[in-house]
Amino acid sequence: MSTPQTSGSPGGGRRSDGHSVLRLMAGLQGLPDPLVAADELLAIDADTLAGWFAVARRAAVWLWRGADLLADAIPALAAAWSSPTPRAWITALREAGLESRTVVVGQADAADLACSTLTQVKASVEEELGTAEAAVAALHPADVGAALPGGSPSPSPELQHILTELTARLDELRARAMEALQSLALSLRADPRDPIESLPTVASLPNGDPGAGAGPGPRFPASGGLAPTDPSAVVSGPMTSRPTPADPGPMPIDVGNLERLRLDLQSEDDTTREMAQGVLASLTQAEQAGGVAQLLVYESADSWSQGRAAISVGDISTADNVATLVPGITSAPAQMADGLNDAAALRAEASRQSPGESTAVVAWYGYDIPLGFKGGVSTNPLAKVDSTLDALDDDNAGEGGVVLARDIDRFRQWAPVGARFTALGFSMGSTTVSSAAAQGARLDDAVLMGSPGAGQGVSTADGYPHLPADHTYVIAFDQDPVTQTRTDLAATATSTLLAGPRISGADGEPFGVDPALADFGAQVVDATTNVPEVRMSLSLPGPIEVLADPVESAVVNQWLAISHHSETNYLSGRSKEAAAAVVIGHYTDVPIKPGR
Amino acid sequence: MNGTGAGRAGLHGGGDDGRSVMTTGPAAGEAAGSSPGPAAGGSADLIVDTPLLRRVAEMVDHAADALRGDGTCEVFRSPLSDASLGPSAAGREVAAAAGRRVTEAVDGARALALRVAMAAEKIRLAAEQFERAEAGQFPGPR
Repeated sequence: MSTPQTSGSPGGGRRSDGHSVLRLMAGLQGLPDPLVAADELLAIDADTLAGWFAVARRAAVWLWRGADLLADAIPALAAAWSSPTPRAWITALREAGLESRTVVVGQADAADLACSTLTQVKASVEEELGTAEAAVAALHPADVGAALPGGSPSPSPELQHILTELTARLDELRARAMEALQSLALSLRADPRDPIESLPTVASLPNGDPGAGAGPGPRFPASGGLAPTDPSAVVSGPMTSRPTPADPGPMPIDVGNLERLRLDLQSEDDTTREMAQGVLASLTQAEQAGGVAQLLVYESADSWSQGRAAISVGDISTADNVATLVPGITSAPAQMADGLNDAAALRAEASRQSPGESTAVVAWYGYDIPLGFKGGVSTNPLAKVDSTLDALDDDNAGEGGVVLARDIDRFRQWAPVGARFTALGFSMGSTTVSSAAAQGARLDDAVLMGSPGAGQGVSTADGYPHLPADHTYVIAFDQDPVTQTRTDLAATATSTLLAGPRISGADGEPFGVDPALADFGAQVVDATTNVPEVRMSLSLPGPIEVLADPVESAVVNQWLAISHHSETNYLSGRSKEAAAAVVIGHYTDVPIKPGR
Repeated sequence: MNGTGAGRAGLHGGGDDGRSVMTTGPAAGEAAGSSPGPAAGGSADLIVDTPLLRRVAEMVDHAADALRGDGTCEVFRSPLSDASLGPSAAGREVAAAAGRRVTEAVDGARALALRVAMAAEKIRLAAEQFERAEAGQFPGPR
């Protein structure tokens, strides 16, 4: 065989006709295809990664030069102004720049190291493939022919040896590449902005202002960047970081919603007022949990509607990661306590796993949640009947998905450019998230928890326009009856009984396909329920015992089983850790298992 | 020009060298502390050289310029796609994290530039206010 003819391939790798011979030979010998690993490694674009970090190096130079010039200014400032506070102030700015530079340079170095390893690995892959091809070419035609259809039934030991060696070598190279990537991922967990963002404001500097230490020196409004022309702008009293009439500070992003809430608190309509009171209590709860609470969505309730509300635990306008948590049936905007507890727990876990990043978790009560009246405000009896029927299929989830996709678009406008967006839905909320993704919601990841189904029209995870299948995660506890097919059967039966036959989707399931199925193609998270398993047995006396001893009480066990189906159970323990890892993009920390 | 305590909030200076000395003491009605120094209600001199302060503001301005980089408002967008580093979970995680971190490095430098520019502005403002106070354009500190 002659030297392989090479051609370009995406990612800078090479591909030759000789490679397909190797693939064919491996297949005929019943060996794993060695080119799967080779293709994966050759697809790595290390050059682009290295080029991108050249931008980081430029930023590191800026930080270095800036810090250097500030160093020159410090002694001059000491000579010009005897107060130590201005010097401390400039010194703090300089040190923040140097700390940030240390992070940037560390990450750029780690990237260079990883790129070097990856480039070497790719070269080694090419070399190994070339060596294997040459070795195959050097074999006696009878040895090669033995592998071909119609050849000798016993495989050629020489050929088998070449292919086994190639596979083993490629596995080693793959392990090296993965190690390099994982090491780089670890290095990239630090946020270079942290030292700068944690700088004290002028107002929080020691003694509150640059003139401190001399009592009456000029004081400056905390948030002002320009010199005031009016002497009255120079204040002598204690500084606070609170906005002043002259400088009201930035407009809160939720000012319009807060104003509507304020008006609703005075409404004469009981339903409207009750919902507003509930949302106000929820805002207080969220603020206690996250320091910052923002009312991102607020629409009034009335006798026909539960209204809509979404509260962010944490500041969405500065968040690196924004997670939107969608609840299931019986939830209501007037009573968001459980959802906010879960949101706070998820946010705390994300912070624990990635202390350098900020995460905001939005409790989104933004769709017409079936059976919401059970936890919400008083609605009229007809609305309650309607809401009960809504629990029996995915219609509300489908409509809610459209609204969710729209709200996420709006959240993106408030969040920093580049913030990661994840939607997590529990139960009917998961069907809503799936529907939003199917409607083209701009999500980085989705997590479907305790899902009764992915909704009508979504047969596989490939059906989401902007969400790759491997960015769709499913958490389904085996003990959770809602994730089993019998939920669909029960819903169909009840729905038919109450409202007559319903035209279901093509699959005949009112909530759509179980996303935990292997055929659905999502990433199924390997996590178990956090509720202890308890089964109830009854021993019955007399003749009945002969027929059923012991008799499992189906009703009691069904009740026990449903205890596995709660948002809090899904956002506890390992499943919470996995969900948080998805929210912050630490995909390697998410345990995956085969689908059902 | 140097000077010392001329009572509460006294102000001296205005010489050709631009140096001023402000001396402070406890405000009326405030009890003086047992230890000296302004924090304890004692007196202290504040020495200010306003021309030099203005030069410092310029130096700090230059630092802000350096932190801004080449002065352009170039927007950096990651060329890495989800699959740029292969289909593995580690590859996808690095592609996403690298995309963000490099952008954040630039954002961080620019955010620091903004803070440093504000600092320069405040130093300049301080110089202006010291000069005005010295010229008696508004009452001394209370």
